[in-house]
Amino acid sequence: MKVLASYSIKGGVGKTATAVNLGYLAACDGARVLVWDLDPQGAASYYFRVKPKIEGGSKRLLRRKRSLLEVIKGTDYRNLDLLPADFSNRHLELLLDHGKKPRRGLRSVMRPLQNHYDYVFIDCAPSISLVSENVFDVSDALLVPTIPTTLSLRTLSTLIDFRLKHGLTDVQLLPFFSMVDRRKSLHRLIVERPPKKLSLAIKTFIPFASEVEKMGVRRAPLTTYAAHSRAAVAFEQLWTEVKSCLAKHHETSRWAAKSNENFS
Amino acid sequence: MSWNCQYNIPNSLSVRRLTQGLKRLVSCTVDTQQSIQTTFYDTYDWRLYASRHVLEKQCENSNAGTLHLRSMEKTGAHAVVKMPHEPITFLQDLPNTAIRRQLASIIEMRALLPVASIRSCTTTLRLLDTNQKTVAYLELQESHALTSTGRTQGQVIRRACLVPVRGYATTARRLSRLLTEDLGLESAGGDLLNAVLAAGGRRPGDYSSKLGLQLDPNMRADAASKLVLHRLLDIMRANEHGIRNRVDTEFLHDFRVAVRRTRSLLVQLNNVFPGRTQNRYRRDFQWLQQITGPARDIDVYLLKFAEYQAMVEPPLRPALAPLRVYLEQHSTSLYRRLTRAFDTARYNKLIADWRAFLDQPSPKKSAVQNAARAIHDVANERIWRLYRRTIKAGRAINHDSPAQDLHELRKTCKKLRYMLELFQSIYPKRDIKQLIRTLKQLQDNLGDFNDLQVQSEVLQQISKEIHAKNRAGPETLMAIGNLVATLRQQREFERQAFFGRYKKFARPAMAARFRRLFRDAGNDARANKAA
Ligand SMILES: Nc1ncnc2c1ncn2[C@@H]1O[C@H](COP(=O)(O)OP(=O)(O)O)[C@@H](O)[C@H]1O
Ligand SMILES: [Mg+2]
Repeated sequence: MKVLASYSIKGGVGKTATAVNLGYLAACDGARVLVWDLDPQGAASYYFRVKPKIEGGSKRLLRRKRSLLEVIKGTDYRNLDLLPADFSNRHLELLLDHGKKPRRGLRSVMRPLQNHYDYVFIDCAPSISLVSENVFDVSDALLVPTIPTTLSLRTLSTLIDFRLKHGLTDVQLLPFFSMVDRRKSLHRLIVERPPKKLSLAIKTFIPFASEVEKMGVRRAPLTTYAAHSRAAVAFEQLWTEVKSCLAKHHETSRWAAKSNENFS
Repeated sequence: MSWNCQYNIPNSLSVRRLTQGLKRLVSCTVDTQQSIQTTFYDTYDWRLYASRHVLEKQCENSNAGTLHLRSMEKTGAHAVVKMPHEPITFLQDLPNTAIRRQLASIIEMRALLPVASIRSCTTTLRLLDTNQKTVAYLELQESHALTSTGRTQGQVIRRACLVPVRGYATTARRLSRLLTEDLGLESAGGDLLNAVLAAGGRRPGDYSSKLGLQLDPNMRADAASKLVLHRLLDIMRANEHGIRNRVDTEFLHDFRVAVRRTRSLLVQLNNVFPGRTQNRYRRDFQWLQQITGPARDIDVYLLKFAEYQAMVEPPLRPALAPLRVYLEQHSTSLYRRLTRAFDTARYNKLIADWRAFLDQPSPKKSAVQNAARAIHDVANERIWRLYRRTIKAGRAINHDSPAQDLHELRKTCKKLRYMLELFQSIYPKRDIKQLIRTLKQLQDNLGDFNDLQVQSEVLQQISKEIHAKNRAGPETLMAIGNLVATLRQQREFERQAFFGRYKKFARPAMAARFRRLFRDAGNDARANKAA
């Protein structure tokens, strides 16, 4: 199992669009995929038309009374499941804080997923918090959509520092440019010459495109209704690049797959 | 979720009427009708079927399609992968996804073979909730089994398959009730694959390398032995075409096991058949075993190749490639030689004579001493003697024993193992299984020790040959040397492990069980007879 978190300190940068579209493309490859909507606003759940309410509530989930597996919902697409948003972030924070190892709470909650999924995409809420520290702990890579503006670059560099300062080097940092508007000269400038410090491993950028915005109306991954649009093609390229980065960085995932996989 | 989710659609109910009926009861949409050709795959020995899995390739018209692996019992769980045009035969032919990993532990090195094909017309209904989200699928299928030439055969199979969506169990249960109670469908009581196989006249499990015989302990020894030998002959014959066509390595393997068991029986069951018969077939089957040996040896090296590579230091790994080429070339020529052997008069006469002999009813009165005794008594004596021989030889092994001694012990163990396996049906199941299991652990150890010995010798030989024929550079010779060193190390490890395994096998509880099953039982029988 590989865990990929769509993460940024900022909101409205394309995190959810990334998690939903890459999750869909991974499932198209034949992999078993889970998208975990960890943003209380529930945008990913909304795109997949899943009602955000978890029966029985998330409290019991974090107290290990229930397995995550019981609250997962199948989507309209084969191999692609969703774990709906039902945590108020504050709530999750408090519960994680309660345990003995607050930074590792998510890891034990996620353990049962191990033999059921090849990829878990976590759609995060924008922040640096205990929840995000947990996300760093469980993830193989952070996908960081970044709008090419000066301010965003500074935020990204904060994140890079944060990762180093906290020694979170097991997790691969994969920033890429998102919502790139070719009409804006600043966007063009930054995309063509990204600052060296960022050492961007991913070359693909996602263009700003109205088809992506339409996901809110269609309530479906981009590829299902505009497969040949520039943005959809960009997401496909992005997925290919992410896979090769993953293959390079870790020979095995932080979540070693057990050889004896069973059907659930 | 484990309720049955396939239903028969009665002939009186058209798919259209069924769809209309459903639309009145639930909110759903109908996807466009699809004409799909499905091919079901399994290994020659039905490993998928035995583990309750179904592997199917679905295509629309062209050859490309999707490959699905599903469980017969649990609904929903389902691995899919898009398949290119190429036919699939081995695991390596599949892209490295979940489906391949799941298949790996089931089929291992065996080839996937098509077992049946159908053409079906499928109407998919999607049940929707208030968000227009799919919460269950219902596939209405009308299928025809196809012959190998693509013609339809048998009656149309009409099925409704309920495919639940994870997390919507209540909906699926409701839909299931609706189908049976409101629409009058009946549960199909089995997977579609069963119906398809039946239509094509195929019986799942029609080949197995297992004996699968139930012998009567009081049967005459000659008649019982003939039953077992007959079954072994059938196993040999069933594997011949797979060897000729080199479908996968296990055809030859199963063939050879059957030959070896046949030989072992002929040797062990003294005075059950006339001496001349016994001698002739012992010789002939020994010949058969000899001529099939070299091809199997190379198969083993090729099967182990990935393991071998892992044993060599990483920088030397690529240098093993010429070894692989060498093995593959050899394998091809050895298999060709094998096919020629199958066409010889000697082989065909052996098989024909042997079958004729086995088909002959046993003579009422036999001059051969053990022929008319109960198989139970004869087997008891043999097994008891082999057990004691194993113990005696095992006890004599110490840290300085020559490899030859371990080799001899291995052969004795094998004989004992075959006897236990071939006649297991006349003993209490739990006892015999436990004996076989513990014996197997000992035998695996001895087998590995022997194999590692042989392998390192043969690889050194090959290395010399490759060198002499100038077929690879010094790195290859170094890599093989590296490999041989690791194999030697492992061999020493196996030698150390022997003592523990032997101790377990020779422990008093096991001895008591052997005594009870094979010695005391014999005494009891004799006592009963006398009384
Ligand atoms: N490449 C894009 N082009 C145009 N609009 C986009 C693009 N990516 C995202 N959006 C839109 O921007 C908004 C925020 O995107 P979202 O993926 O929800 O960001 P986040 O999850 O980071 O808050 C959404 O309305 C989305 O439809
Ligand atoms: Mg979001």
